[in-house]
Amino acid sequence: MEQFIVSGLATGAIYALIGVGFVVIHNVTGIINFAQGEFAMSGAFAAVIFYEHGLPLPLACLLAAAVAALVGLVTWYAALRGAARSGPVLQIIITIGVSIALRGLALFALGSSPRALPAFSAGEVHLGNAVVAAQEIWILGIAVVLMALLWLLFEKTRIGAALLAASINRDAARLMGIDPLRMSAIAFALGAGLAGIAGFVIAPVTFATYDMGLSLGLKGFVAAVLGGVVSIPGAVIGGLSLGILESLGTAYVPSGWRDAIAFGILLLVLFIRPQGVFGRTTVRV
Amino acid sequence: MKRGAAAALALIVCAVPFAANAYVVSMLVLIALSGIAALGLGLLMGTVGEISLAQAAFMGIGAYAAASSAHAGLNPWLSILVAPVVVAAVAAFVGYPTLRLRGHYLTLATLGLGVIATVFFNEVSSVTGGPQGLGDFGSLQVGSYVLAGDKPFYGLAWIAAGLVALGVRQFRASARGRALRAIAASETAAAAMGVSVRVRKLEAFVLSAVIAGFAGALYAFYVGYITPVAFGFEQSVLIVVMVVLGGAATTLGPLVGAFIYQIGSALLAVLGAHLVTDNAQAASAALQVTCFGLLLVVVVRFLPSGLVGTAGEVLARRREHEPRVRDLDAARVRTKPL
Repeated sequence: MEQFIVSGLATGAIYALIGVGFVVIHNVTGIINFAQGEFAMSGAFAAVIFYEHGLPLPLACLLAAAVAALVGLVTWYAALRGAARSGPVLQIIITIGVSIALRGLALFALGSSPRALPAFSAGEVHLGNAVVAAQEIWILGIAVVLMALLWLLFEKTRIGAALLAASINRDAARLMGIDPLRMSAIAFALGAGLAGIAGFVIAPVTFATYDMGLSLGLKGFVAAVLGGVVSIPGAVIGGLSLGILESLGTAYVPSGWRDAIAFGILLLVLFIRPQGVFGRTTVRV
Repeated sequence: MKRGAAAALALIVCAVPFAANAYVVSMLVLIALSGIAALGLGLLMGTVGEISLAQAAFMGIGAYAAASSAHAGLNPWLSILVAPVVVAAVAAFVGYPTLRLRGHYLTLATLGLGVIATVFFNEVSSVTGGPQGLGDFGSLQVGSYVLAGDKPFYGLAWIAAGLVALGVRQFRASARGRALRAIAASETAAAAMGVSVRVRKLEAFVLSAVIAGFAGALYAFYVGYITPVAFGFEQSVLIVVMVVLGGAATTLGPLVGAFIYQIGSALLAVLGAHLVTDNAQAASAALQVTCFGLLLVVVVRFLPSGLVGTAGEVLARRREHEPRVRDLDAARVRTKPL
């Protein structure tokens, strides 16, 4: 039992990071970003490539986060900035296009065989009755640190306040001298960077594959919806609970049904509580 | 002009099986079948402006419903009628709760449905045959003539595509179609004019899914053996690509999009095999995915009404000799009082 909860928390932390990135992008730009999983894949592959070229692992990971943020920035400037007034349907289609293009590029450049990244530290840790891989502790630790940094960003810095202002009311923010388009670029860099970090911390557990983004992006998405789509703490709790539910679920149902758990929950939430299980904000009905 | 183009297209379609080899004919059958599913999605995207990411899943549900009921002994023609009923029930179940919400909840829900459908196809092997797939469900017959193989199916698939295209055109022009476009323009205004927004949207969604289910049922009898990979999330995305390429708001657009997609991906497969020799299959797949992803972005950014839609706009402007701003300025200069 404890075993399932701890490993569920670790996977859940990954979903939470990707989901939070999704929420940040959605709040500031209004865009439902289907390329979020591919941002995670970019981070994982960048770390693998830097590491294979002889960089020390911590440096490779730092650079990989920057690469993922850069991929997000390029996506914004090249594909979405000009479509800022195009309406949500066209924007969704653009992000779908970006996601399949990134997946194709990864397959073309790096092939279909999985790439390994070493665990940040080897070995296992005993927690009560549970035996936990050290990497899972790393995942949880990094997620906690990132959440704290995000809290600091949004609560204590001017740029965080500007991001919040742009997500609450774009026009009022513009009147206050905040450029919503610049905030959107920052949101994309931030959201993609978070996903990229999620990508390379999970890579030692699951390997990096060109199509890892599909499943990761969808799960991050479910995390965000569980939290009500617009709430960062909601996405964190949504991701963690999704991870635990999946992990417990695999104890009781065949492994092939694992994905059905996440999306069954997604459908259930949309049917019964579209404002999110933990969300306070209401959805207009 | 438009009628002429449609007639020319119909003529080419009729002539092809006599001229082309088996590979081309089988590709054209697939174009017709994916084109039918794309027509269904175009009906939804081009009127209400909602995106469904479960179109391939609906094809799959239709295919499995038809195949498994025929496998159980039902007449194959009747099993093709079973498919839309099952698909309609699933679509209504998903659409009913999500379409009452504003925002793009239908996209999210269809995404979930697509994934669950794939799990279902893989895991409920007593009905679907699991990952190995389902075969041995007979074939369509007219009297004692067995409809199997490329050429008979070519006729069947294109007749079906033509009928669906005509039906979609009628639907768009009907009062319901106009109500849907009003909803797309402004839900509030449409509701104020007495349009029951939720019912009309649900109708359009169920109809678009049913069309995909019909395409899936035909597909099952064409290939004679169905597997879950043919109906995955990526296939649903590709149907979105077809619709956007051709133009969602036109009747011919989705068919043209399906045509461009299938031909383009065949050409890219050849190119990929030339560029990379050690793992040609993966390289071709990668090249296809990358190119169509980028093409999707470019089309949406620069030709948001799609190829057919843009061509129609250009033709309409030329026909009406609509004076452009530049011409007006020139006229003003010429008529300046001396």
